[in-house]
Amino acid sequence: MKMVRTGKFGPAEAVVLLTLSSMARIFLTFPRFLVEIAGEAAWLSSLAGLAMVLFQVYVFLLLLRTHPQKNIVDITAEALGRVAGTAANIVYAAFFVAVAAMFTRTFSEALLVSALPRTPISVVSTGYVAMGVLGAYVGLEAMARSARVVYPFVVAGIAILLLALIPLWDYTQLFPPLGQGPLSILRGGLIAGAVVEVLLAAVIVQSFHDPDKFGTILSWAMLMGFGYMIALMLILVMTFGYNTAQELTLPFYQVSRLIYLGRYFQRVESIFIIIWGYIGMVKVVLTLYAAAVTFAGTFKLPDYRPLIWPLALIIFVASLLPGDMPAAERIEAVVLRYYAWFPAFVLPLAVLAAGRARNRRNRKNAGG
Amino acid sequence: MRAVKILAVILLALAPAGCWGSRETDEIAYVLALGFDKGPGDSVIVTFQIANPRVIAGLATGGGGAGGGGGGGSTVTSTSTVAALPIGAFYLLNTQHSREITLLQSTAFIFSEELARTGLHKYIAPLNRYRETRGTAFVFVCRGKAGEFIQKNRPELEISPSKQYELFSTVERVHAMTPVVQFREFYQNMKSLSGQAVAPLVALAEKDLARSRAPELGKLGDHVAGELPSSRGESQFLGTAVFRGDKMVGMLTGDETRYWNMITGKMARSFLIIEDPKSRGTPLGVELSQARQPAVKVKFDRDRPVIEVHLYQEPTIVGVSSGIDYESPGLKPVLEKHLADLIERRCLELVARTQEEFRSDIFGFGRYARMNFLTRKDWEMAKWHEIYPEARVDISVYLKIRRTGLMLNTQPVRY
Repeated sequence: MKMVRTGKFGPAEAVVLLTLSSMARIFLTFPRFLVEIAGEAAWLSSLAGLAMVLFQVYVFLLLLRTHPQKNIVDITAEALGRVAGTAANIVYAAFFVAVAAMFTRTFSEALLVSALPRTPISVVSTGYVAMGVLGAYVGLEAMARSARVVYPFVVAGIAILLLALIPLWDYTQLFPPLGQGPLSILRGGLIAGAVVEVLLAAVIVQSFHDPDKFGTILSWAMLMGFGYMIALMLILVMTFGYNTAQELTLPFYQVSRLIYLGRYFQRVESIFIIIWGYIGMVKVVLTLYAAAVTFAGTFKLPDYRPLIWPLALIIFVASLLPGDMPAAERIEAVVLRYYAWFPAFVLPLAVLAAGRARNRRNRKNAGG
Repeated sequence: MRAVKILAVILLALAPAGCWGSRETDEIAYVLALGFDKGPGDSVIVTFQIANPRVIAGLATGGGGAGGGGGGGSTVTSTSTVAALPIGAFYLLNTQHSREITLLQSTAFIFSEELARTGLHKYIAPLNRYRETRGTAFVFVCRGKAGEFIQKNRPELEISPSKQYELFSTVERVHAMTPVVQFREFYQNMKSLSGQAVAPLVALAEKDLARSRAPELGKLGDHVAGELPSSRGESQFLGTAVFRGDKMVGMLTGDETRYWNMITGKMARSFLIIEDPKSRGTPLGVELSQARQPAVKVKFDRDRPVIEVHLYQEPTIVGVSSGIDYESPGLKPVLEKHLADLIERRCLELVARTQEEFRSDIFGFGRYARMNFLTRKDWEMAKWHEIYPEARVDISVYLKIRRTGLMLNTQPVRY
């Protein structure tokens, strides 16, 4: 049975789409958590995270290179066999659902804290999930092309916001340079390096016009995504200092509220909220789409779209499970980010090892 | 796909309908400034200065009275109320006004000196958490009651006191006799291991001209707010409240504040009247301007910090009442050295005061000290706030008179 495809897009669109998706966390509580762990050296943790992600990309590249016409779902099923392969693919899909649920919740909470304090969270979450359903339905090509169009405005908006803070930058706040110490920097790197985008790209790789450029596309996306994160961590610490930065609920938003270039250029955080809303939508769309495609691939369904509605409902309900915002933050930052390494790295590594073992065995059998 | 189209239409239809939190501007009362005074027990008296849109609209269309309370009524109205926490007072205020109170446009937080001396963290922290308050609002310490200051402060040149507080940060660049401190900076310094907080002093003028003394040469603005002799009972923004942690521990005069601004690199321009080096007792006026940011280095001699400060100034000669030709190549260095020595002396006196009297690093030298450490743990163990009073501070002033105003030569008076 042939799977329904939702169009293809070029490397530039793919890079932009994955970059925007990987940027989503920098608008939430994540930078605060990184500052708490690594102190003044939070930006070094981001750098360590980038190194780990690039290694992750390399492992996926090895995995996909051996199966040029397949995505990670097909490769896993083939390498691990029917039962283990199905189980592993369900873990991937569950990971996407968990990420979508957590981002729906944290983006909704962030919107409530900053702009819509009197709106019930269920209404805001419904908005995000509805946008996710809409985006997943229209497919990745439409999302990728819209991301390509919007990206320059996103970059310009972020650049204006951050550069307008130059008068508040104090480079001495970046000292002591190792912050909470080398071990804390590595711990921060482990958390920063736990991203969903590498696995996600391996799921949607068949939507790329040129799947062979998987490594290049993903490396660029990660370099850009982490580039923004490193810049923000530097600016956050230079503007607020360690003590205050680790108190902030939404560091990026709170940084944008400090812009004051005279009486006529202030209160520009509304620009930020528009960017924020768009990136939140991209994240929810991509993870919901990836979850639906993974499930459809696992159970050999011809169309992923009927799965969108039930998955959206699960995401919506799961997003409301944490009792409060600090609990949601802890689940996202502590639980999800640590355990993300299992579906996003350990499992694919096991698939790679199993695939190679199987090839070796096949070669030996053919030779013997 | 049909269901998706219907969903898209519903989403679009919902979007223009607005949100739960929408508030029309004619349903809101905007608080422009908040004053905090000590209340009964542990409570706080919060005074709210609220914009009066009826009068402001009248002024805008030419139908209202004079700013600050002329015939058409005042552009602002004030109300005080008591609560255990500032935000509690804010909610109580809603029971007294027909419009919903909002802090979205608040530009000033004014704390009374009495409250500042007991510690401000319990009042500042809730404000920092509250979503309507902004880090860009200005913080002041009022000599006397903050509520009284808010009620009596009626700037004649501005329609709104809110603009007065904002312009205050601009006009400071002309005299440098007061610090400009935003809420963010104050909060940050209150919790910093590398520096301590300051806040500008405000007060209503309490001295009249008849009681003023002859100003001392070498100093200008050697008063704190409220004590500057003036013919009008206006509000004054002059001098600095010095904090250790969240408690106010002393005050700097306007003259001392100039040197604080100089050392911290925040002085754009200032003015100084010094004694003419060649004519004792004769005043000589110079306009100071910072040539470039000060260079600060902190080293450690065993456990004792050694702080080196290099200041770069480019003054302009403004008034030479003695008629001596300081523009000449032979005399210009004499004036430069005299001025550099004076600035160095005054800066050292100020630093000594912060070390011995206040025991508070209000210059933020700790920011440079922490560059000597690799990790935060090492830096915390150094206990900067405890060792700062023992630090040796060397100040060097590099001063060059670049311009001499509209005169390149001074001819003596002849008779």
